[in-house]
Amino acid sequence: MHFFLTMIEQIGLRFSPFPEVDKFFYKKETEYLPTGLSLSLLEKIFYKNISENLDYSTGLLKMSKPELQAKLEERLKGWGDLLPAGSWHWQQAETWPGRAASEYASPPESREFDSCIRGRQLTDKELGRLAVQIGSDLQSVLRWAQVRVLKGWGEWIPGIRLEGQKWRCQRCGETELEEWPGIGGNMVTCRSCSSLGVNSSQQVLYRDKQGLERKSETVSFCLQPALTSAQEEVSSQVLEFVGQTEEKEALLWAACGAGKTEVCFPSAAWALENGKSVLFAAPRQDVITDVAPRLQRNFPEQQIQILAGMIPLKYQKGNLVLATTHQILRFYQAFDLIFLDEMDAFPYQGNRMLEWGLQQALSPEGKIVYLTATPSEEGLRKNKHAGRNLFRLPARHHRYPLPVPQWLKFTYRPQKPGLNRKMEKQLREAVARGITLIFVPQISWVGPLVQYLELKFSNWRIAGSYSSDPDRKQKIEDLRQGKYSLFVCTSILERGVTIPNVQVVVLAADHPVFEKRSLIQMAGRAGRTKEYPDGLILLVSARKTAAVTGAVNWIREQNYYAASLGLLDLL
Amino acid sequence: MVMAALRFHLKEGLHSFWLEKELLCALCGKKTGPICLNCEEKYFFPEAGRCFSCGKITFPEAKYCSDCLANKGPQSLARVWAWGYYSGAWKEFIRDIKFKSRPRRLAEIRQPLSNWVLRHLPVVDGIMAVPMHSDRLAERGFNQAEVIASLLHWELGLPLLQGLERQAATRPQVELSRRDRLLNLKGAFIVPDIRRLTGLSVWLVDDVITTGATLEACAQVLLENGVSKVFGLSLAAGAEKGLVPSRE
Ligand SMILES: [Zn+2]
Ligand SMILES: [Zn+2]
Ligand SMILES: [Zn+2]
Repeated sequence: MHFFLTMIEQIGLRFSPFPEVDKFFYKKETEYLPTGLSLSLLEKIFYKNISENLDYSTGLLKMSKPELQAKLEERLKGWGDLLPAGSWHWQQAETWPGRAASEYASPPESREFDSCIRGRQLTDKELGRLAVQIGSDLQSVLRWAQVRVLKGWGEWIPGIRLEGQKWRCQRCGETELEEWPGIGGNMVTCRSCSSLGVNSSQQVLYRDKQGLERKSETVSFCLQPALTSAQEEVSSQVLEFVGQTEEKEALLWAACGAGKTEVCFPSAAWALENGKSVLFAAPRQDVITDVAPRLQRNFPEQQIQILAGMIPLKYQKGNLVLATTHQILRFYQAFDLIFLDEMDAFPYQGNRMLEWGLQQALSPEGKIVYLTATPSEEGLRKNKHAGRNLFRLPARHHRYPLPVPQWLKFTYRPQKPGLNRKMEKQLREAVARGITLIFVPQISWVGPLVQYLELKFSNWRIAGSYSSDPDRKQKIEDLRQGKYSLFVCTSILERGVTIPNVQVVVLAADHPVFEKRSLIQMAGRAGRTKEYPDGLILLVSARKTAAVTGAVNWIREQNYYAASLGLLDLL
Repeated sequence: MVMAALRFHLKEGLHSFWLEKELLCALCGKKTGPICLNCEEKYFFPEAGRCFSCGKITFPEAKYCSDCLANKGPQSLARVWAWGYYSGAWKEFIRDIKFKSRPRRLAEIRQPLSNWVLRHLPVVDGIMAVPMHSDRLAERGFNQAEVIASLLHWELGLPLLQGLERQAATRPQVELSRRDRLLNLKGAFIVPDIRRLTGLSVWLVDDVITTGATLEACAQVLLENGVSKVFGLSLAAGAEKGLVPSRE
């Protein structure tokens, strides 16, 4: 997209993609310099010289025309190759080629555009997709976007910008970028957010500053199933934080399977009723597909935007949004309340990009509630240090304690799959109790182990899967329906999958990929349902590592804490 | 004009840029690179010929492709070479450069490209890129043909020549029929200063050859303005029918 240095009488100077739209908007004499450049190049050429006279918030220049001309000439000396003197004659906006601005004035589609674009941050390509969706065309949509910029409702920014000495991707915050030699100096391309489409220093982003449409409304909200008393207690704490405090962030720490998402629903309902916008975000698609039907059940008449995975952007309306964390990079100051689910799960933890995206998508007055089953010690420390609220929900809805793992000494050799007698006995016991999941640390272990087990236990139905397995979906479905006795997988088996009466075996629990928190997550799959609140958990390894001990202690502590609050029927 | 700015920059900063090491195949990303044997067979047809007139990949014994035998190819170039077959992973690679703003990726193939060029092309006075209209250049930020030319310049030590410019933005070639393409290009290129090129032989570089019309238009203008010989060179082109076993 090209931008032009544009001078508007009595108003000042702008970088505009459509000088004739500016003229139409202000109804004032408007001139432009006819060499179109990328926004970043224009900034590079002009900001250095004129910044002291430039009002950044309005993009306006406080300078007389002769003063400006002198400045320009001085500045252009260094850019003679790119912009020879002859190309710098001011031209009247009327000479602009193409259709006149008046033709774009305000047909019904522009109103549709105005409501879809709110709170978004999009590339010109994405604007093109929006245009198609609302039955318009790119040229019209770009002009309507420019009108919003002139009204102060939005802004154009270079996709990647120099901040001091450092390039920074304005979409995802990345500073490690692919540099290449372009016209007039180095340019850069961002690889971190490339799954959302190309972003480079030549690219431009339209950033809307109005946020999602906020209007108070009666929200039909019915909690199904009803909250347990433990959930209710925490739920009211969250609601108090959201509705009555000045604090910005809180952490909700719940046991695996305690129903932490539902705990947030009453706060979401309150926010919507008070005309606020709400985002539920999770790092992985499977969490979204798991939460979507629950949200819909609890907010039966609410229009919910569901933005998941890498599917092409589809523009929807509504101020209740459920999205993967990647998608939030397409929002700007859009949400008053964000619930970030599974904040410890891959790939959120330590991911600067999503941290940046989250802060960008949050409105200036907005609040974030982080949801986790396994906060890291560092996370808890930080939380405390920041004076953030911590809400705890240590018990499951069925009021039974979390099953505590047992440790079993056994060395498994992946090159030579085999079990000793003790291990075999334990495994038979587990399978006799119910469907047994065997977690292994590496994908390459899955196949050989499955082969071995099939030979050894020929009357059991056994399968294995890993994340890039093409039959994965079918296998997971079969697993959910109880078609297997034994299932071998790596630790990232979908978290949303709840299997009743499941037993858990972690092989090589001392392997470095199994940190304390992943052991807790794997153990957390057992005993989730009311019918089967208990389960066998075996951590199998040659050595009892700190992670193993830590995980066992952690689960015990949760149980004691839950009991002390009177949330357990048995202990 | 814009080219000069680019060139200035290339001279300053690009040398070390091309010296980067890449270990994996630039195309499949799996086997040992810069281009693995597999991909070399699949996309670069080391045993096949190249049509003298349009550079297309042809049967080893053929001098011209069937299109050029029917006089549909360019006429003014002394000879033309396309390095690879514009398909699959190689096409993806070239599209990455153009449409995903990744000219830096060219560094990955600098070695095999310059080896191949050395083996096939005659020594000339200088290298020239097919120019891009300044409008489109301002949008993309680089001219891929120019970046390829500069890469060869650094690898082989041949001078980069300037002096060929593009006048008006032409509609993208792909939208046009063969006949329209030729008309579309007529008068698109100029040499503002005749003195600079008189008597020189050049490699004229573009990223992809489709019909050869762009090369032809440039070559005509260059020859009219004193250039003695023009050899065409591109990263990719089509292949003669029947040469490539149909896949899948
Ligand atoms: Zn980025
Ligand atoms: Zn390869
Ligand atoms: Zn030919």
